[in-house]
Amino acid sequence: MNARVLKTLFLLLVRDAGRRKLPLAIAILAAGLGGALVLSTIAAGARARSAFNAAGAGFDAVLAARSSPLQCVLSGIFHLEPFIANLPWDFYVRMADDPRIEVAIPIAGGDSYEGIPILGTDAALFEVAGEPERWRLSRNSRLFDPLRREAVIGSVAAAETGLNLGDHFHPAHGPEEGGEEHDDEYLVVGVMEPTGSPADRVIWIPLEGVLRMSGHMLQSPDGAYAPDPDEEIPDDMMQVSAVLLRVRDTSSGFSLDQEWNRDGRDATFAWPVTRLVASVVQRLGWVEAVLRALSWFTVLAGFGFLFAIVHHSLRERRGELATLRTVGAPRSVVISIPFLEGAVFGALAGLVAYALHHVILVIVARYVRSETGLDLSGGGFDPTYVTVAALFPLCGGLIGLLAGLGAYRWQPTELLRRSG
Amino acid sequence: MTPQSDSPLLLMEEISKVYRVGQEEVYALRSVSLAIGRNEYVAIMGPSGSGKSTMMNLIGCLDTPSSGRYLLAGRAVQELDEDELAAIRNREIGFVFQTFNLLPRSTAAGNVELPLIYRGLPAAERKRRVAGAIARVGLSDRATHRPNQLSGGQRQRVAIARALVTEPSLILADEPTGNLDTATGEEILRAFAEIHRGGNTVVLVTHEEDVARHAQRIIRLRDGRVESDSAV
Repeated sequence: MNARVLKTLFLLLVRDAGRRKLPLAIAILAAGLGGALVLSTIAAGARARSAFNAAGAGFDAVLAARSSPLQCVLSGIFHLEPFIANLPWDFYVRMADDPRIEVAIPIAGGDSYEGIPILGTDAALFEVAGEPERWRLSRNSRLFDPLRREAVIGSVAAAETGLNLGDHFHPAHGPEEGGEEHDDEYLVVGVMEPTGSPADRVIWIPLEGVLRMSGHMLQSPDGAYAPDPDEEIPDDMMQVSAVLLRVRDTSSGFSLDQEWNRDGRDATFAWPVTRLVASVVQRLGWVEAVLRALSWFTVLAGFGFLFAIVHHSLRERRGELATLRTVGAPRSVVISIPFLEGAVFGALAGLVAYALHHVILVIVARYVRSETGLDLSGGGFDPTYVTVAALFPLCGGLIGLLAGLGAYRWQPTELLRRSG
Repeated sequence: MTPQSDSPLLLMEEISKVYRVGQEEVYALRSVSLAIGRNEYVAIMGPSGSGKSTMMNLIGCLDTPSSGRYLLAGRAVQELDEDELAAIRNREIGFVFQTFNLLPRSTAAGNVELPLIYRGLPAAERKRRVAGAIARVGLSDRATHRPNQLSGGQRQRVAIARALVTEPSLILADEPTGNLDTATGEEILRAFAEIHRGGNTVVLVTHEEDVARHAQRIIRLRDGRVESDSAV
């Protein structure tokens, strides 16, 4: 087939497509939307898995009040659930002194600002957290002074609350928006660079800030206790909500698991974080499979529609095809017309799928980021893209070929007598 | 059978065409033999169901016979595959239909050029041939018009130019005046006569006696057989 024949075929295609813009656009959009959903489901799933795995920020275990390990991870790592109870300070000390533990960082929660959790912690957190890169503060930022009412805020927290360096705010009681405001006023001294982890959606303050927050009562065996501003809090009154841990090695993890979860009942040692997260993702795997199946169904429906259009278009152009045959167009050329049409429309649907999936991913990533702090916007090359890039024009060409083979069976002279 | 030359352009020997309708075999043509020489002007006539269309398909290489032997310009048509049939249509036959069958979104010149594209001729050669064929039917000033900008007669002349442009051995016309008024029909028949005088072989399929009389020879079909074959 020479270039001139191809050009003629292409012109025939363009001119005919121009006459059925609307149904073609709908079919291409339908197939493209299906493809976009398939790509989005796969890409978002992969990115979510990767983001969830990186969410631990270098911590692979959490010690928290007795509950399920998953609850501990959701509250200690993802900050999506409130802590169900506090732990005595001694538990943190035991962990910090344990040779099987490489890093132990205490955190304490219970307050929020405009729905963003406020967590008290040790400034050492910012020296050890983050993987593969350490957390960083933005320009002109600094870490909070542990003895002052100062805060370092995550990038999402900054964007959502509008807080910036030098701003003041009053923490509210409880994890939900609308809680009663504490009298304490905090100054924002640092804003974190985005980490893509749940830490981005946190307002970090000194641990003692949580313990000394007005209205907070520390529980002790002797009853409730509120420390005086100038008084040092005795160790036996200190509390933490959880301890973020980096276990020295796997055998240490197993031995701590045995010690805290099987032999003891005082707290839950949630380890390893990645496996716990993976089990959640795995449990939700069927949702992804169903979504993917539905998406493929949409693709199928779109291509079915496309087939109907190509077939109908060929029926309308039977006379044209017959004319081409009488002037000596070989079978390959006659069948190439619907094949080319289908392939071009399929390729267009593929492009629509690719473009739409980017839009969907941006929307999903924004939503997930604002809800969890996780960053799904990255993501490298996915082999599914190649599959879709090849599959869409191929399927389009195939339906065109099917329609063309059917059209070739029409008797040209009969058609030419009928048509005008 | 009245062949007018020693080496006929078109030779059919014992040609039959059978269609299967359910369990039944329907004979569209039964043992038809005929020869048409070069530069003959022949009309094929017959009532509806006589086998005219089947004959047209076979002569035009749009179909192959169920049995018998068909030679066109010395080539055994029944032995050709689909692509070879397409090639022989392109080189040896120029079709003219009652309904013109022009591509509506191409210009007159574009329509005339179409067979040359499939022959793979270079652009300059195509341009020269298209201009010549369009001039031959007197439409040089309408070359850039689309079919809907032309009258019925002009459209049919474009179709004739398209049939002539490949310089085929045979011009095969199916009811070429059927969609035209009497005056325009006469004009088109004069064009065919002119083409014949220019040395072409013309086969006209028609059911109109008046039209058939323009030919030199009339072959009448009835019930799939040649009923008569006589000079006008």
